[in-house]
Amino acid sequence: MGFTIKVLSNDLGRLSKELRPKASAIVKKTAFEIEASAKQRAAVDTGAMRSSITTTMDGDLSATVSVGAEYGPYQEYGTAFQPGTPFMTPAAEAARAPYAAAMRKILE
Amino acid sequence: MAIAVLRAYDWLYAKLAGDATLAALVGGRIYNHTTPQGSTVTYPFLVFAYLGGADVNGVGAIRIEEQGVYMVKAVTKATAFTPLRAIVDRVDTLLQGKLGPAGVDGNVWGCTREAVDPMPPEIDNGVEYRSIVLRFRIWVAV
Repeated sequence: MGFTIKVLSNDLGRLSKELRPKASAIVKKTAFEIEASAKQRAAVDTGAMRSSITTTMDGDLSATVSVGAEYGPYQEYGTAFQPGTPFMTPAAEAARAPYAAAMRKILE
Repeated sequence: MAIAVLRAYDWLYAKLAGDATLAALVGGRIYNHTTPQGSTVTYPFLVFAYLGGADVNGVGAIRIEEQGVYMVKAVTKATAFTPLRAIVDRVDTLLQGKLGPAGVDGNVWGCTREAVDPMPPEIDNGVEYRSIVLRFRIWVAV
């Protein structure tokens, strides 16, 4: 026995239009929170590395938080001679759960 | 185990130090966070360390798991990454997709590589050093 469901109307178009700006706002907020958190955790000597941590919106649903100072990777992972003092990974990890929760909330 | 992330250290070390192939490649030089110091350091070596992570909680105060990002870094004295290839390949084979008991009351239920970062060369007193960082996410049940 077969059956057919005919969708005469739906709200997916409207929902999609409403969700995208909300999701974009969450992406932007999270990225800047990661930037702020990384700056708080960054080891400071002259402050050059801390001030080189920046956020770029790559699109409305994508952002990049990066360290401009070329010795940033050495601070994060350590050198061949010294252990690192991670500041980017802890900042990103701390934002994971709040980001997921905020995204879930706009779908409710 | 309240601090399961420490169990991941035990698990990581057991995985790396317990492999004869890797032991032959790095001469058993596997260090937890600290990097060997002084003029008598022998290369290559491995350093592993916790980079960051968070608890995953359920409804109420139920902790489901801890997950963390760990690095395993291979370091050698060289002008190219070539001498490190066999080492990082072996580390990847030993950890990627692996799971199992971690200590007496922890359990690693997932380990996956998230990134490979060849580091910019370091030069000290005219000698060049190369490092490759492997980033793994490890899930530990508590």
